[in-house]
Amino acid sequence: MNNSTHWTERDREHEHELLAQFKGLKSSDPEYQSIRDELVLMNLPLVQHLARRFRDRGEPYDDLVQVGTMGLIKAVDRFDADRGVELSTYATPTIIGEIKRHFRDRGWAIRVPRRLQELRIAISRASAELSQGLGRSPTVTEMATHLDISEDEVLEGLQSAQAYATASIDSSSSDSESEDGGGSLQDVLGSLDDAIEDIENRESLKPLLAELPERERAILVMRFFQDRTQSEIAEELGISQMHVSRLLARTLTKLRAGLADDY
Amino acid sequence: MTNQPEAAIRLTIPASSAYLSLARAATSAVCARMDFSIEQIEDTTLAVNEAASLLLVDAQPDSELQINWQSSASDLLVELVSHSSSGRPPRRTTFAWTVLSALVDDVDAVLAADRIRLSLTVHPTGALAQ
Repeated sequence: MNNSTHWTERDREHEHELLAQFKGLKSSDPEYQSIRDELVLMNLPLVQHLARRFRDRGEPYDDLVQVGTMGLIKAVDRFDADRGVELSTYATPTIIGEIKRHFRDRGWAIRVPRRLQELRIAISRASAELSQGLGRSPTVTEMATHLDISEDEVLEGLQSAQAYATASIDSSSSDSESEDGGGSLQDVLGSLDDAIEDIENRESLKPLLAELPERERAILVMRFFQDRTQSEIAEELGISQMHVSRLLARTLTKLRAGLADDY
Repeated sequence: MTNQPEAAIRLTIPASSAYLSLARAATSAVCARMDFSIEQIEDTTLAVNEAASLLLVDAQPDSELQINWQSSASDLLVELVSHSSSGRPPRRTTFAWTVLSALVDDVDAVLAADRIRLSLTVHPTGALAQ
């Protein structure tokens, strides 16, 4: 799409002025941030439009807008008006690229049947809701009643989530890129060396652990060396228990592929 | 889900990771029948996947992996039996063993003839157990 559908000639001229100003600025200049923000805000409808195209593929729309906006920011930063194209034209492939990368990172090949993805999301959501009320992880029976689907369908959803977790090891797992390096995460990671002290093959484990994203490394330490449950870890990190489960499965698959002398 | 505490399921698959999805699916189903919580289903499934992967490292070429699930009122016992190349059970000081120990209540491995029998025991903590 082109913003021309919504934009007046005045809007376009304003954008050109902003871009011309922005081009001469360094990131340390006082106006840099405000002009950049304005350019991003002006083009947000483009991100929303593109995100809508991917809406029913298993990831929340808001998340898609968020990653798409990252693409827009990159495009604004790299844009060169001298190339003679509009910013929206230049930004579109970057935004779509970020959205697609998000799907890849989340492990969803876009071809995964939509019904299974929806089931997986419904189950993950129901699991979180029920856990709140019950004070523990729900059973399949409880989930089936809550969602008004059969127990076999709940199982099918769980299994597709597992399959997807183990199949997605080639992703760069950058869904943890935007994590905050919160204090508790740092504490956990600080204790890593002590935690693996008794592991015989720790020397081959160490470089593999070092390659993991921080959050996945922390989850691994908490679950396998600190005896914390998935639910406890989920609560601490503000993600769902099923997400923790998926990350654990993925991390283990990744480690197994590289770990020598583990028998 | 009708609770069926006493059940025995057997599965024999080629010793190849290509068939592990069958082991995972069966594990989920058995755990669900026992009214395990979702979290425990996922931990147990992860454990079976890890245990099977561990045995595959040392499995004889073109051999089979047998998996037995035995549920009772008090626990689930999963036994994985493989034909070992090295003729020794997996060591207990590795990362793999640490992972298994964290995921289930008890893990053990013994050698019998040229077979390794790795067993995982899980006590349900779901609705029924509370």
